[in-house]
Amino acid sequence: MEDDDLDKKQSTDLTEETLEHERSELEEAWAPGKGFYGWLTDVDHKSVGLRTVVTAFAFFGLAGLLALVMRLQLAVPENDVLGPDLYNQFFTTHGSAMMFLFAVPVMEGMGIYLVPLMVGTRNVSFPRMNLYGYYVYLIGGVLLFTALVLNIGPDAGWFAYVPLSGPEFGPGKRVDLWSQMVSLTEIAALVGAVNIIVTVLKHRAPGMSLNRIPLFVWSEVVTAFMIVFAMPAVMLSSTLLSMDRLTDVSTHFFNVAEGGDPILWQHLFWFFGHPEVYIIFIPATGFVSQIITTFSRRKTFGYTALVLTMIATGFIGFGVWVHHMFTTPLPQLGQSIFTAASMLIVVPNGVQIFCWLATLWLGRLNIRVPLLFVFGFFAIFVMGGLTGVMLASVPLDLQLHDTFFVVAHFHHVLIGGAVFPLIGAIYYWFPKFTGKMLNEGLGKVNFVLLFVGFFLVFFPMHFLGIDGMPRRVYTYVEETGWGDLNLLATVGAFTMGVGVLVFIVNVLRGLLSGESASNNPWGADTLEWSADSPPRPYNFQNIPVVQGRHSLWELTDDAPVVTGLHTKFRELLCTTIHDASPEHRYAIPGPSIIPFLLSLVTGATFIGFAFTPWSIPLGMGASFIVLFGWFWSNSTEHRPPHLPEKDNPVYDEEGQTE
Amino acid sequence: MTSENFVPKTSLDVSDLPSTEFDHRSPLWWGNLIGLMIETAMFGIMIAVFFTVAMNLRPFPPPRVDRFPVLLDSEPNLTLPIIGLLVLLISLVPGILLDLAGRRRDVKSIKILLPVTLSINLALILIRYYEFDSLHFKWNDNAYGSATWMILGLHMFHLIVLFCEDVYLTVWTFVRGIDEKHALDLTVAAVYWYWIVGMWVLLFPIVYLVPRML
Amino acid sequence: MKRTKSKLSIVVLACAALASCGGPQNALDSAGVQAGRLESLWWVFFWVCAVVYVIVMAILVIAFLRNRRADEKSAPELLPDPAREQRVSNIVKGAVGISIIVLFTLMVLSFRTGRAVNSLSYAESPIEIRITGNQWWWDVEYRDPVPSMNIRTANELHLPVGRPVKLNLQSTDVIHSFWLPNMHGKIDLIPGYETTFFFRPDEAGTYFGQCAEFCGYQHAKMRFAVTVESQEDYEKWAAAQRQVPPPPVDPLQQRGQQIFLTSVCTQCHAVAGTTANARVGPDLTHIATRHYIAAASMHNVHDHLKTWITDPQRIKPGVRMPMNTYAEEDLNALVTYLENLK
Repeated sequence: MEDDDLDKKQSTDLTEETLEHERSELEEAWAPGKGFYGWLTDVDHKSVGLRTVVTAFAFFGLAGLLALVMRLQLAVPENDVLGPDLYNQFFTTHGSAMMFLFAVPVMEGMGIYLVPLMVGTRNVSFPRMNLYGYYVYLIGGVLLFTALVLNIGPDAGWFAYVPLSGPEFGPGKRVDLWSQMVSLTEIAALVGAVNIIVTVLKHRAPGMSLNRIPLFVWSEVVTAFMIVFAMPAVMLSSTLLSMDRLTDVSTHFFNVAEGGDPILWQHLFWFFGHPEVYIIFIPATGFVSQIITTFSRRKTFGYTALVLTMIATGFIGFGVWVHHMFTTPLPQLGQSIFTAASMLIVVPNGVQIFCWLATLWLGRLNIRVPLLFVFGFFAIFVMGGLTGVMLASVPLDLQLHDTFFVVAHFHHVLIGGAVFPLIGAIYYWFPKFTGKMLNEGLGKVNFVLLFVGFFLVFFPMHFLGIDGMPRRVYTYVEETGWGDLNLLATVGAFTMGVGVLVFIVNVLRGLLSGESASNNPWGADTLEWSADSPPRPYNFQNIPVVQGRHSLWELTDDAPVVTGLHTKFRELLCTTIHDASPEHRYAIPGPSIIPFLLSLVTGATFIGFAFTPWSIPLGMGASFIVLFGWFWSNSTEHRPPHLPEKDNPVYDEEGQTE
Repeated sequence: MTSENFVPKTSLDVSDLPSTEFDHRSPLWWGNLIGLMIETAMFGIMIAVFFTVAMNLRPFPPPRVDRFPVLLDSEPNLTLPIIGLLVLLISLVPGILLDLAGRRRDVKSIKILLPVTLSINLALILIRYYEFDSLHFKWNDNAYGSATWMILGLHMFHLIVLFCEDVYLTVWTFVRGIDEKHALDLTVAAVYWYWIVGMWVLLFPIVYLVPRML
Repeated sequence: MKRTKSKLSIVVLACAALASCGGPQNALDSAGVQAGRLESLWWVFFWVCAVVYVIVMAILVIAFLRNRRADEKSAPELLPDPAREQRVSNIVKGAVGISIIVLFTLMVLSFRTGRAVNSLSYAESPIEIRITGNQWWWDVEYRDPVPSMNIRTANELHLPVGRPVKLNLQSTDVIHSFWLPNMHGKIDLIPGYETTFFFRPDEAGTYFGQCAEFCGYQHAKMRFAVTVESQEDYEKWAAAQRQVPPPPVDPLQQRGQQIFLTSVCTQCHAVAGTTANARVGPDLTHIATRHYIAAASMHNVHDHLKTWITDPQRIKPGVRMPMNTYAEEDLNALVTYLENLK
């Protein structure tokens, strides 16, 4: 259907009376339950998205505190703040929490919140599964930190190399609990990815053809596909490790004596591990694209290039994992191929940087806090990307691998490339999430503290690595002379800590007494800014019809809106994949306690699996029972009184509808 | 032009659109497909693990030396696996018929075919249960045993999951009948079935024939 | 605000730069042929990356400073001047093209350097040393075609200047990584794999390395010391190492040896010429010749030996050596005995 085919007709559907009547029906149909039970059962994507983001930031804070204590330990040589056992647990939990419990969930959570709004629909395709994913993630995160508090936290690094993490050298349940945390968080990530992909494929507002999809939505779709192909690798490999470790199972996947291979673990882990960092980075590039466009007051430069580079990065990201293994005895030729691929992936990144610089150069800048964080992103991420080019070279990597140089590199790309855009995104979308503005002045203080603090912590680490300091060391002898730079880094860490505190203060202050925000305080272009601040549970009174890539900037006076969707029942519009013409209507279920119940079963199954293999068949049985209830409830919601008969006709033996 | 003062004047009426569509028009079908992509990735990883183990063990498969007489040719026994493969391929017939019956909304055929596919599912699970013994190693004997049991086990997991899905669909059909949504569910479950069969067509030679070739 | 930030970064840079340009455990202070090649490659990469970074940041800062300002009510530019867009588009394409050329060049340089640093494997008559990684010490064995000429030591190497060294690396437990930054990059020691690694020290001196792959509790202090010396000095050292120490004549040392042979020491340690021949822990035959103990994390002096023997868990928690209690005179005798194992 072309734009001019869209039947623009003057309609009685749009009188004030009809609109008012529809609004009250929508409010009732989409209202969540009341009280705590209502919150527990709420399948609104905004509720699920927000709680994911808030939970992720809580884990960020906890992992950050661990880092502060680690920095205290490393501030002076031969320090005794943490002994080796606790230090090992701390750095393992810090890394695991940051990667599995903060970085990926926060990016997915922002996507779950923003994507349906940005594509112009009312919810994700599978709302109950969405809620289930959140609870499973929460259980996984609580599991990890409970283990740490009980002094049985994992202590073999976030990447758990065998044989150190295997049954012989990693006694107890520490690594098993890590393994189950991984499985639980990966289930949550996968479930979120399915939702994002299907929502973007099938529920875009009419007129939002593929070449009009906002860049952040593209970033979330590419990321979701990466999750689909990368997460199974780590789920499976952590399961294989668990089975090697369980005495009742005692498989030999990584046991050299029986034909297994420690290097196999490294391959399996990094096949996931490298895409993982792009899973974290690509949504951040989506944030950067949106913020730069809004605050440069012009159409994005190089939209098509930006989309293609994200897709290219997604693909190439699967072909570089061996660069984490250059010091293993793998054949030279094979390693060289991965050098080439690792350098190749810099090209799409470079294209992105150049396109963004072009947009900034050609635009008229509204310098607000979100744009400041984008500036910080450039300053820090580009440096990290360049040290990445160094690490891509096999000979250089032989010196730099497993040293503090690498710690500097990945913190530059992760904090610069993901956290800075994320904080900027929070400043940007906070008015939409809450209806309040964050304070500009505090925001600037926030930025300066984080920016300066970051450089103080992580820039010196380049030198420490070159000077011989390896990673994952709980202390160092005084003779090495590493004390001064480490002390500087510790000072920087606490500066960053203060910066994070300022952020928290700004958020709390904003929630309690922030300035009221209009629907579109930044004058931005994407659809979420036409919804209320915060949006109603049903997002839009009428699904909009999109007329351009920058929807709100290209909105004409006579732009139609969608009418005819049920307002008494929860219904989404399905559109075609290529050019988003209306195709069919799709009923979605409402609140339910079952996602929460199933998450408890899933959590118990996996936590039990750390102790006995029988947990799996028992868990499958329990899951079957709960899922039976889920499907039955879902099926019942597709019949009267939840849905009119004509929307879901029943057939009798003669093949006729009843 | 901001959205703040936009007042809608024209409408695009979608009330005539249907409420259910099949195949690539259905979000459920896409959700199922992506789920299958995830599971395919899992099997891909397991195949890579299998071949890594195969490269590490010489001879491959390793001889069974912990019993008398020693078993030098420890390739898996092929009898039951071949029977299983054949039954799996034959099961495509009722599977496809059920798929087509769902599309025709032919309630009578569905009510016959659902119990049939359910029985075949059960038979396949039983065959698979005994198929593990065709391998001469247990999962904890060596890495080769671990890898093959894992592949067979993962695939059996899918057989069981589909069986449970079919149980649900059977119960609903006999209790509440076939409505548009469940006609769709039948076709989506059929896709899962085709994938399970297709996956096994790929895995069978790897598990049972590759050891004879290496 | 931006000016104070840049001043601060200069100060930070200067401090940091001073710390990293030299030292006995430093990758840019090359004392071997491979480290030299890697150092050269590093500087090429460094300057290329520095120039790129400065250019990108300059564009960014200039854009931030010079562009006309707008606010959220300014009308967005949806139809910009096509000529200007085209110009910038050409610049972007040019920048991408230059990036590809630069990356390709760096890649080729990297491959060439990689081939060069591996070319020592064709060296003739290298010194062959087998290094076995254990949690948390290095077992060192110099291999000679004549087995009686083998040398067994731990946590240290002596090497003659200018002669290639061939390391045979393996691990008895978990993955370790041998890293001597002044000489070469690192190489992993993986259980089940035997790896060969070549390097050639070209400058005399004392250098340090440490394990670079997380291997458990005392990964942080799994260090080793390498002394590179002239050929004569090396021969002298090697000859001394091959000698079996004679039985002690001094009564205090005799008492020390008696205590050594009747304590749990012999469960793990070996001294050639006695009945102690366990290989669980480092070989102690010539311990007095070593400058460091406890995997090169402490100086080999009388007091340190005493504290290490009596309470190793306090110094290196988690290490495999148990605590040992001795009467003061017994401990003194034991340490004196060890100090004379030259």
